[in-house]
Amino acid sequence: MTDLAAVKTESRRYGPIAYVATTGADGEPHLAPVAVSWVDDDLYTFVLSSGRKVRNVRSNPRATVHFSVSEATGWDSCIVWGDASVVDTVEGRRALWNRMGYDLAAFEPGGPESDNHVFVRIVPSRATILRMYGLKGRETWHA
Amino acid sequence: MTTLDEVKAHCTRLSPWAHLATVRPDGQPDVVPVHPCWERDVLWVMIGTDSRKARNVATNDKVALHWQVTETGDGVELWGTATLHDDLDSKRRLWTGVFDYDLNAFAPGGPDNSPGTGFLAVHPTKALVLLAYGMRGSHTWVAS
Repeated sequence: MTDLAAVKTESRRYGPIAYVATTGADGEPHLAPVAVSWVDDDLYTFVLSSGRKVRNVRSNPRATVHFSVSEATGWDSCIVWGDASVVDTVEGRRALWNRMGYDLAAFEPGGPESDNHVFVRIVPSRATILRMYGLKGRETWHA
Repeated sequence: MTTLDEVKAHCTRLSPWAHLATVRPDGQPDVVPVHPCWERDVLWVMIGTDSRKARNVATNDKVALHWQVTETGDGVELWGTATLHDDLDSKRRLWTGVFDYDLNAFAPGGPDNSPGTGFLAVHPTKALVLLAYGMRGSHTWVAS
């Protein structure tokens, strides 16, 4: 058993790109590589408001994040399951605009006032860290 | 539009590894890294028969895979339906000649003595090839 602080620290080993899975209303999963950032104890990603991730989260508020796996990190995995919601208000976007660790204006020149982009917030409910696909052990966390 | 052969070629160029998403009965997705291999137009993944992904597919056969993106953001997402195969004939057939790595490294008992090992067959229904996360274009394939 580990704690969320350790999960957050571990997740940063894998770089900023993670694979975020959501589920459509028809039960079909969707996977997308996106930049994710921790803001306090929640994970956020900044995405097009018209995208499939957003549609899925609006109909099924669950998401799972799998940080990138590679030889550089010994084939370890960090997986975070959580409850997802869409932050689509100007006030909400302003609060997060400068907290993602990269320049969001490069993707949305209209700034936080633009409705073209939203944030997807993932509140972690549990996480697993697998050492070399789990062959060398695993650590888990539950909210 | 593109063809499945072109999708397969893109996948091969990207990486041997992909992330596989399956869905639990309550709608929560699960994601796991896998090393899939093509046999003609079927994508095979070696799995544990009591693994979460095997249990998920038993209740919802819809799956999605996303190959590891390159530094420039090229990637492939593929959707399909999956079936679990753990019969001896399938295991013997798949054990050699389909996968590009040694399955014995993960199941030393081989096909005849690995009761917890099976294979997931993914039958593709559609795919999306993205160049630079889609900023340099995309190509779609849909099964006819």
